[in-house]
Amino acid sequence: MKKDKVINFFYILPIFVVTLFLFLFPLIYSLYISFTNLSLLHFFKYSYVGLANYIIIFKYGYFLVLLKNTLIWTIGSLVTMMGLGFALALILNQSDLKGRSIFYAILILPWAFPGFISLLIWQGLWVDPYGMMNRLILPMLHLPRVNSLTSTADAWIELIVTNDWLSFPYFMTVFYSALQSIPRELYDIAELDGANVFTKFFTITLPSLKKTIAFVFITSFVFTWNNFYPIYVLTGGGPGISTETFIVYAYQEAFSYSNFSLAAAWSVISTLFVIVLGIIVIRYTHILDSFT
Amino acid sequence: MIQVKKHKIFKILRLGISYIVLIIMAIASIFPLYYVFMTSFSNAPNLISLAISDLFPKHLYFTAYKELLTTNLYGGSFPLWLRNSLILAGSTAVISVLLALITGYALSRLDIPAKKTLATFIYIVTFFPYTATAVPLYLLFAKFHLLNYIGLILAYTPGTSIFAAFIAKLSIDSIPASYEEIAMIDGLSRFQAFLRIIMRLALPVVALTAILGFSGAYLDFALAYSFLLPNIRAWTATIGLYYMAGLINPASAPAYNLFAAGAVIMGIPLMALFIVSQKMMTRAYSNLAGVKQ
Amino acid sequence: MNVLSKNRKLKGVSGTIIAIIVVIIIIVAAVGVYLVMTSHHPTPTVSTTNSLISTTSSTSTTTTTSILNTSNPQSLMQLVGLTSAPSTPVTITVWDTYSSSENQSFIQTLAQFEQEFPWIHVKVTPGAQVGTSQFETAAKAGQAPIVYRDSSDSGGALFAAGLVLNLSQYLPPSITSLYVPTAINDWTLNGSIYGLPDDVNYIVMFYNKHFVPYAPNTTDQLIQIAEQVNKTYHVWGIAYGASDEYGYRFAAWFAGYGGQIFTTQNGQIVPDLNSSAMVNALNFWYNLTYNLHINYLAPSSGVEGQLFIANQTAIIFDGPWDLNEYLQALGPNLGAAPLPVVSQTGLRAEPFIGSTGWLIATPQASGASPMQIKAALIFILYVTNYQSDLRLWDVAHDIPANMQAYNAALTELKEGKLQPAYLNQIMEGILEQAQYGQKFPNIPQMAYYWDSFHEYASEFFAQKISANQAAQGMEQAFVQSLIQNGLMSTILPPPPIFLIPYIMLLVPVLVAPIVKIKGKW
Repeated sequence: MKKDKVINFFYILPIFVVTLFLFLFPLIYSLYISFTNLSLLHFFKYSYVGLANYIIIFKYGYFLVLLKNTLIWTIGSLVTMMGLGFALALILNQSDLKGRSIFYAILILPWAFPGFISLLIWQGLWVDPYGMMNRLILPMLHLPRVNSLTSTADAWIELIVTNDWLSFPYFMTVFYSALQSIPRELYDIAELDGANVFTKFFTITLPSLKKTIAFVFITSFVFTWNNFYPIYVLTGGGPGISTETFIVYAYQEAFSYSNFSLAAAWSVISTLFVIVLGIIVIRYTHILDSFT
Repeated sequence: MIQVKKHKIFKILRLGISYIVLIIMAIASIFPLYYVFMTSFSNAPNLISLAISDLFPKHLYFTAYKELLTTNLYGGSFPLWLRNSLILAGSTAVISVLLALITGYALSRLDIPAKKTLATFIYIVTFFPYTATAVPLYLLFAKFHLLNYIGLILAYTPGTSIFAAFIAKLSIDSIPASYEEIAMIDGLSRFQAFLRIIMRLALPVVALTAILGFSGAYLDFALAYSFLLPNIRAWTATIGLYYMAGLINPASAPAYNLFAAGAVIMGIPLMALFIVSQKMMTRAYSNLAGVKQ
Repeated sequence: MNVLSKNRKLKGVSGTIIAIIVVIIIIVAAVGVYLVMTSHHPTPTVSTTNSLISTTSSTSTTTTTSILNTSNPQSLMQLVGLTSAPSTPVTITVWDTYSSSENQSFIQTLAQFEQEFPWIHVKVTPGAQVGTSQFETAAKAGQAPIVYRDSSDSGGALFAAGLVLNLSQYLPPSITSLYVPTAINDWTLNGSIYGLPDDVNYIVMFYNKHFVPYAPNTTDQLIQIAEQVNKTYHVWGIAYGASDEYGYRFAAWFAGYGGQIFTTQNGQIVPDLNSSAMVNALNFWYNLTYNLHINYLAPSSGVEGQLFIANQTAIIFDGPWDLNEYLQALGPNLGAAPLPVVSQTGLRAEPFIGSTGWLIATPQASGASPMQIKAALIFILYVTNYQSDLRLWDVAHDIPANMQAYNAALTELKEGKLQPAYLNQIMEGILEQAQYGQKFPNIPQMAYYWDSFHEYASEFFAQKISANQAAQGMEQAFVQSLIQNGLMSTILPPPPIFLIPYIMLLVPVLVAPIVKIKGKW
């Protein structure tokens, strides 16, 4: 009986070992150096400084700004991306829709195409007044100009719209596959009972997708929270530090200032936040309850 | 009668709006990519066309493609790097799939001590940001002389595998255990049953994991650059592309047409993969919808 | 009843197993961390023999020729204390950070080098970046290249950190006579040389002769010409992205208004950004952008270049590294001149006169043997010698840092030898700027200037703060980052009162999981 259990444990050993080396080690390493003064000036010989780095983080005033920015970035992106993906999934899910495969194939391209070039193209598209967004598209839609150099709100719009473009196909796919698995009969029965579109949506569709939404939310929340590249390329955290998130700031600490210990402290704090939020969501939505 | 008419109007309205939204989104999806194509066929290495007429170029230049495919640098060339990338990404995909499915299978079928705690622990640990793992990973792998493809594959797999393992678990949950029981009674070992039955029935998850693992390894720059920089013949296509387009050295004039051409060349197999497996991917998440459970 | 007891037993078993697993995790992780930590000190095999070599080489040079010759293989070997080539070949690793046009020159230089020194194998890594932390990361793992090319300021930081060699310990002091004084000055920190320069770089004013009748000498003329251009041709007079700036180009204007980045206070080097000079310089560019509308606030220097090439702007501020592009696009219409004099103060706008050069990593960072260090010294002396530097000038138009090459370049220009003919005048304009520049600070404090400047300059040009607030803000940010990184001493430790808002923030976060939210979605 016990021997069986131990053998079973070996099946999970590979992922466990890999996690240990690839995630736990960097985490513990970063935790360790966050309590030292490792930087370019204390490179080979560095010393233990206790909580000094953490005191610096909380004392010098950027913490709340960065927290606010990270929350705006994460929640703003997620709500719009999930909303867009969900809406598109609903549309594609209609049984009498023609040309579904073609539409799906086109709509998935932003996700499929290499992101590094897409980001550069978007960077060019947003240049005011030469890029196509300000020159052609926004005027066509009768929307005001967007100039991320002069306005923080504009910078956020630029960031979130670009991030939406990059990621909505993923959510579309997830929700579409989840919607597809809801049996037809449930809808037919409800219709016989005289339910209209909205009732069907709220009593059948949404509850069935509860788990999907929660799972996708938590993974994408973490991913977006730690997503460094779009902000770094598009606005560089500007104007000032008004669009800078934890992860971009930590990167700059490490690579512009070569202050590796402070950067590690920032990463630890950022991760702590995400872990706490993650645990709350996991507990609340009982996602991992199917394991026992 | 009126009821039927009302129904018909409603239906036309619904479908009409749907098609409009889909077409708008399709155009929005394609527009930037159209830009990439046009830039790759242009002569001027710019990213911003300064006139609307530039959207419809009069002449297609193949200089970017030619230069990309024929230049040779200290023994490395873009075709070589592309081959490297495909090998690296392919191996990562295969190993990610194996790892994800074995773990998913174990989490689903087998009775492992402290399963829930382990699963939560493994999941939580991946919350640590990728940029913060780059330097510690380099230091660790340098010590073990793993600053090569093996090290890179090891570095890329967990990201996809852990996430995919959970999805695999849910998918395998919905395959009745009796299938394997029957197979094992027929004489197959547990592992063979796993291969024959699970892999085939959980194909959507396999497809999803393979694609995510492939694209993650295929498109990565930061980790590949820090691991592979000293060895130019082992560079991946991403590193080579950044280098040839002059995007690594700020004093070099960036040649965006080269960059776009490289992105198109790299993007074609990736997009093909996505489109071909679309049927399977759209079923990968169907087990997340908790209908009966 | 059996089921119940079984469950309780299983619970007890799984409890201990969890504990064991947790302990194993912690032990393995701690061991891993320990292993990586202890790998940071590869034993350097040399330390005492270095001083011996330097004394013998200095005596040998005085006995042979008084003029240093870095073009002759024999004398190069003597400089590093070798009488003849060793029997076994030596390999050195070099990170090449040249741009694509410079690389064309480098490949030729490399071929020559391998001919004259067949016993030195050079393993070149292209694609390395200047001033990034890839070198530092590699150094930490003992994997740094033996030879590295970097800019003088980031090289200075590496030197202060002990990652690159003090070349004054290996080469005679007369080595400085081989190089242009401003260039070798950039590579000197506290009297020690840490690198050998191969070029001098700074920004100049490029203008389009089609729009601009003559190069403006003063800022008043600059404004006049720009306004004319706007009115007559409806293109931007100037394109200067002052809000994308990290302070590299803006430093010229700051100096033009009489400012200086650093000053000494009580024997400590402190920043001096908060001055009326900064306020005036900021307001000057604000005026040109938002009041006179003659300056386009570009989001990047790449966009500035594109506009310039497309004849959409008449004047930009850039360096000779982009010269080839502009030559190709504008041809004889391209003009280059030094930055103008600030009319308000009568001072010239003085750009940083920087330099890129070659450094040698310490054995601790690269694991190099003494013989490899000698080969590396020969290498960097060779690639910065007369022929190599002149080649860079001929092929890539880099301003030479080697004195002989620089003089040769000047002679070429005076005799109008450059092809095409209009290039002579352009290069003359570029070289003229060298007389009016400020030294590029290479002290470790310099690394913290950039982000502090950028944060507040970008806010200022976004019209969110006034120039005074910007100057104060960037000074404060600069000082704070210096203190945080231990480069400036603080006064007193802060009282813990500042923690209260954070504690209050944490309370709901900690309490939330405890409060169970009942009910449905």
